[in-house]
Amino acid sequence: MTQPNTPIAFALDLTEQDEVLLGYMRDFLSEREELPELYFIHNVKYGMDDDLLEILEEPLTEILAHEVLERAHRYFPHVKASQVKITEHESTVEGVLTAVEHCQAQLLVMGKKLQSDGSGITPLRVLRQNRCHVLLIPESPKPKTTKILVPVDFSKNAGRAMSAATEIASEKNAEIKMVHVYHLPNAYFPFVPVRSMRETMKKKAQKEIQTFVKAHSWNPASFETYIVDGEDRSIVQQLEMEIKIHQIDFLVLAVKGHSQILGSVALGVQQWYNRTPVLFVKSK
Amino acid sequence: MQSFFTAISGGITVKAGWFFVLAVNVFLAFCIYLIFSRFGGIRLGGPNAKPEFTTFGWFSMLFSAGMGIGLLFFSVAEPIIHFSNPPIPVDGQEAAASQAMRFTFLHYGLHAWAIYSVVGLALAFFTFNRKLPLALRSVFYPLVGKRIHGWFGDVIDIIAVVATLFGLATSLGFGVQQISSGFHHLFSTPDSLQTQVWLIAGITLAATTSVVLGIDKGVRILSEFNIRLAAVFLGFMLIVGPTLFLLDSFIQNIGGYMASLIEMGTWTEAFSGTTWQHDWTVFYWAWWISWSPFVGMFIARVSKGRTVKEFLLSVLIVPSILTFLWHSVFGGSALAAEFALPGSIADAVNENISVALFVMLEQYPLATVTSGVGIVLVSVFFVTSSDSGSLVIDSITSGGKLDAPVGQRIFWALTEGAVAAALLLGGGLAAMQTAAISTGLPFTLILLIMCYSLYKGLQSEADDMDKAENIAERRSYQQIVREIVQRQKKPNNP
Repeated sequence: MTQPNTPIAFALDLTEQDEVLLGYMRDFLSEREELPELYFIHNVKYGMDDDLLEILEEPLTEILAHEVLERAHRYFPHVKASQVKITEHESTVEGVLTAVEHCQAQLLVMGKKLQSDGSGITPLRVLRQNRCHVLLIPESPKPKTTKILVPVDFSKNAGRAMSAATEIASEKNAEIKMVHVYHLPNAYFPFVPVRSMRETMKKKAQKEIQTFVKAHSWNPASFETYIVDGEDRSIVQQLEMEIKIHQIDFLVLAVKGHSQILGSVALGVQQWYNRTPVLFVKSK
Repeated sequence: MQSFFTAISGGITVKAGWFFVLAVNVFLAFCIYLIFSRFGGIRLGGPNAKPEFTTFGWFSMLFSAGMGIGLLFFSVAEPIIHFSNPPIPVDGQEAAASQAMRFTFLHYGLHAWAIYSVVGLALAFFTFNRKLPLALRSVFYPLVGKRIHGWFGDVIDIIAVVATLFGLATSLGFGVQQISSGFHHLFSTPDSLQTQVWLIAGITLAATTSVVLGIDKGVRILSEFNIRLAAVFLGFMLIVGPTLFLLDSFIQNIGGYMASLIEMGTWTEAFSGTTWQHDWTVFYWAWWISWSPFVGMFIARVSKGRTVKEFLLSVLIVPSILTFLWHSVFGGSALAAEFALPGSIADAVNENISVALFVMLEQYPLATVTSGVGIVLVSVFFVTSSDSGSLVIDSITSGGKLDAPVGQRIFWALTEGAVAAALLLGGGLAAMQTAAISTGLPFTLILLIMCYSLYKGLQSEADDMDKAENIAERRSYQQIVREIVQRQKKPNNP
């Protein structure tokens, strides 16, 4: 995904968030000797009022293409007009997805505004329907990527997320923390003391982490692994806490492939979390 | 007296059986529609509400709402009765067993949970999103507006209270019959009406004491203990019973149920001219409907922060699957014993339905211990149902408040016991069925109107959300484009 030749698409909405997103990605890709192919997508969702249409001297899509190109130029000076894709679709999601497919991008970068702005639904739908990986950039991300958190459940998908994280970490010289959050299934384990159950769960998780690491070709010395008891918190709440405690600035999360049904963690992070960039790694 | 109750119950089921069957199918269809509609994304408590419980904890609570006296009473009795007297004539015992399990699943599956889903969702939506009191009257706000606070609302809540009272009394009546049979089975105490009334008095007193002492926490612990005990009981039966047969039948039963869901769900005995359905399916629908304010209120209270889609999928599927597992294990163990030795369970059950569980347990190891566990489970369910039932009725009668005077709770706890005892004395099982059916009928009508009211409420919420979002987004987008156009028009613009 972070391979030099993998095309990257940016979904721009012409708001101030575009500047944040482009600025962040310029820094994020700055270590690369050669930039991948970049595409800048904008969907014209609404029709314009007549008074505005009357004063237009060229088609609206042309005007907006100029604008997108100009924005892209400020951060990536070598971008050509052919790398700008303007779509006109009633649904932004459909418009963006069509353009992503057309340019065969492997990574889609989108802005993630606060939920209260009512803008959470587009990234959610894109995440559900899109086939490539998605990187959501919040309104004020930390400029440097120094600490990456990868929550794992020892699944194949979690392995893919971890591999993506190691690629990014080696490029950015960042540190990786791999975390596994467990919960005591106390409702279905009667008569077993909580303490001993916790110990058992902990040992089991430790063993699973070792097996998980061994099964992949990662260098165990290049990242830290730890497990944590989620107690009465959901996994998303626990991850929020871990991000705060360890001052994490990048989160990598596995998502099952092209499916309408997102895992509850991915769904929760997408909906409730907006402090650090989150890379959703898709399985296919 | 018994013939009087039988006549009333018979009259309603003969004349209105089709109505109950139609209504529960409407509820299920309505739930499925909501799951896939644009309302699915509406979050209970508003767009920014976060779930109060973890998904795991929430599932546990939904499961606990589904567990109860009914499961213990009927999990063995029902498959055995349907097996020995097939509702639809079939050839061979294999077909009879399969049909018996399918009908049992029908009565405890998606249709039943659709009833609770509608009531729970409506209560949660109008309470958390519209900030109305947690009472049935609130659900009718889109139809009658502020009049819900007047006599109209009072009538709705009175019907809800009466339905809950009789639904609860029916469950308590079944429970006490089973406890009495269990004691008779274990200790040869007389299994008489007198014993049952004394048992009602004793257990109602225990529930009332917990109300007076305000030991809600204690009841919660008792309730959690009971669910764990039920889980162990289930696990034990799965191990000592014919494990492979039970697991096989669990899968096959679910498949059979799903395949015949529409056919069985809409079957009304129209061409067979029989009346089997009146005592079973129609009774169940009426019982669940009269019980729905109770379960619905419980589900509503724990579901804040969930989306409509999440709520419905979870409330329909999670408890149904667990209930199916319970029935497959207990009903399956009974059927396996019946296959091995015909009449070993069916004869006793056909004579006295409340001994079913204990007769089945006798066929497996540690019968005395497991029968004791069965009695403890029913008794604790009795106490917790009575206590939480009085809390729900209390909440309705005090306009949605949860801190009504203790005296009022005592009154309702005692009333529940008294109604259960009166029904038992008045006409036994027939009286209880009549109580559930006759209070379920008017409440079915209320639930159908409730569906429409909920639809109106959700529609207005979704419209408001879309409108607000679209207007704001459109305005802001047009403003951005306007600025871009003007900037590009300037001659010195590069």
